[in-house]
Amino acid sequence: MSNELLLTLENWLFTIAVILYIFAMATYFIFMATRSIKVTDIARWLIRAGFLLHTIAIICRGIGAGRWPFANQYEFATCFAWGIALCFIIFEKKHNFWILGAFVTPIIVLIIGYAAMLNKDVKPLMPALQSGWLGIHVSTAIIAYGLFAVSCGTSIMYLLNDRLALHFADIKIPTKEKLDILGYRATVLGFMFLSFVIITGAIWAQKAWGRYWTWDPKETWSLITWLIYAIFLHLRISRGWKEKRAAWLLIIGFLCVVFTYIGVNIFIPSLHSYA
Amino acid sequence: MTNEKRKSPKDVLNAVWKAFYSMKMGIVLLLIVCVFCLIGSIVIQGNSPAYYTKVYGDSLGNFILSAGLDNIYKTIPFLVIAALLGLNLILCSINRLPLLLKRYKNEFKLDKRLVGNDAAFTVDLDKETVNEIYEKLNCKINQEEEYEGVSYSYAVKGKIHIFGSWLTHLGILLIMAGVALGSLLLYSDYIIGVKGSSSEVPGTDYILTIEDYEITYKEDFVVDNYTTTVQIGNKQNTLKTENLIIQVNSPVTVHGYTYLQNSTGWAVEAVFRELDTGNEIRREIVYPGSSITDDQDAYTYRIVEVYPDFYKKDDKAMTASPFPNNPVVYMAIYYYGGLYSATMKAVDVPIETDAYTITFENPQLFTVLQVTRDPAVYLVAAGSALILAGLALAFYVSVLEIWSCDLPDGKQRLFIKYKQGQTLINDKIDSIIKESRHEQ
Repeated sequence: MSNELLLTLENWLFTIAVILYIFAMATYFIFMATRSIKVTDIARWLIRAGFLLHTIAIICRGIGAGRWPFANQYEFATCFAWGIALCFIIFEKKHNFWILGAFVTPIIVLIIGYAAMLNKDVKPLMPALQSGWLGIHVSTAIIAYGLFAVSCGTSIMYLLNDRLALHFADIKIPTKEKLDILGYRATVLGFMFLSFVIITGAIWAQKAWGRYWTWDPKETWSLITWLIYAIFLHLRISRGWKEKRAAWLLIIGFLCVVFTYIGVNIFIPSLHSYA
Repeated sequence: MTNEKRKSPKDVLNAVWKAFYSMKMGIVLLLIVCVFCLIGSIVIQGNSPAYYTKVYGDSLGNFILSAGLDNIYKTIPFLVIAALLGLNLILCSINRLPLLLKRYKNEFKLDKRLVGNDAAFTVDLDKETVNEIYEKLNCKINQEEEYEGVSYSYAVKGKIHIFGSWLTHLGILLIMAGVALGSLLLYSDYIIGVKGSSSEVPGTDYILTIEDYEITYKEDFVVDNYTTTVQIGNKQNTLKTENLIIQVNSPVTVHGYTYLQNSTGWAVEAVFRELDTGNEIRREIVYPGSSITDDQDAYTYRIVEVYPDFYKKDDKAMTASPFPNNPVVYMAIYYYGGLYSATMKAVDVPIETDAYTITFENPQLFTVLQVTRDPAVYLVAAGSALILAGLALAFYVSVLEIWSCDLPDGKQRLFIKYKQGQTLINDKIDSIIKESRHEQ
């Protein structure tokens, strides 16, 4: 299959995946309104189908471009949405929290919608990006961001839990404690990945720019994000911060994640302007 | 009147001392660091004063400059906060270590469990199944004791977990120490040159010779890579390396100095010739941003840019390709220090003065290499490794304690204490028990 054909296929698959994610989100909303378990089954299949096509789309782009598909804003945005979908599907399957989809799918749709608005042209890698660290650094960032999105989703659920439990008395709704633990676990794993992202980024910067830390806005914002989650972990472990305050902190943490990725690129000039 | 005792100065000092290594203080300092980072990311760092007044306007620009927000990470308030954070971490680490060591030594013992009776999971099973559980959970019995006439076995694994957060803090401290030391010991400089040129590595005993420099392209003139081939020797000629290849993302390190591919451009040779005879007086390579002055100190030629394949679009100077098809030099000419003219001059076309002609010839690529040396980088690397190891120990290694005793009916009672993920370990034990019953 020629590269052009692969990239055309990627375009189609990406579009269908976006549509499926939107339908999945709508179906999760219908589930919230109707409380029908059958509806969640449809939503779960929709998101899995979307995720499958999205995965194939990313693979096609990688093969078609002849490199890791992490080189520009569009590619990272689509992978970011993919990472959230992956983490959501794993957490949902493991913990059977169907309703979590109503809170995570909107984040996926927002990020992939942002990706859809960006320039999709495939360009060769600039010399600074021609490094084995690209795959390691960016793929771990995708997983970290995905996990933080899940923790944000569970936190929103936590804050709305009382109302939800009232409406869903007949359907299995995770208890507040479980939601709290789930958010914490996603955060802990995300924090590990984020630490790894910052460290691999520093190693790469040392090789490419001669300095492991340059206070570039992207670096600085990833540090801010890391500090916010570090504060969360300290407060939770030592001062017993759980419940609402912890949930709010996780939401703020994810807003920092989104700003690190999108905000820095839009508002602040950075050495990472390609990402 | 109040019964409350007045605090003695010693108590106050103790309270202040405790506050220094308290977590509360650590969290407050982290939040302040966040605020500094926020400002540092919004205000572009390290530009010239003129930049700030131009971009932010006079009043805000001047405020940024006077408050040091243009170099926020070097301001005294930031350095004080960083120092306090370092102090907080040091004191906290020193304070916690003896407690952790004591806990490591004394906490995980059968006696503690029997007295505390704090098992999270208890089940009566036959001896084989109990042994199987010990085996499948990778727990080796390390204590066997009689207690009130009953024989107990005890095993523990994952004790190292308790050092997880301590190691993470130590890692952060090492990084902070590395950054601080690095800012004192860091060597960083640049070498600019064309193929065949030799330069002293500034401030060192080393000489760098550029043997070759080339840019390879993909389609549409997209750069594939910049490749500088160098040899590095010393002034005494007792050392000379083989040809070393430096590319973006692929630096070379020789005798502790790391050479990185930094940037590139086009240089030209400025050739002075006598006006009447045409004999060459002087020949020198000039780079964009550099100047050359004639022997009479009258005219100075400052090269602004060299366009290899010059063309104009919307009155803007551009280059059509990265190849020297139509090289043009854009320069500013100064006469006794005052600006005389700014002009575009094609390569090989002489500029005539009363005493000589100057021609810009032989356009050629130049390479810029960055040379760095940071002896403290290893501290930062060790700190990073410790952070990852500490986080893994803190969050993904958990202390598992198992103890069992004989029951009068020949069975054994198994006790399990597991701090994190109790559900997971319960599930695992359930499956071992089920498997064992199935086998029987």
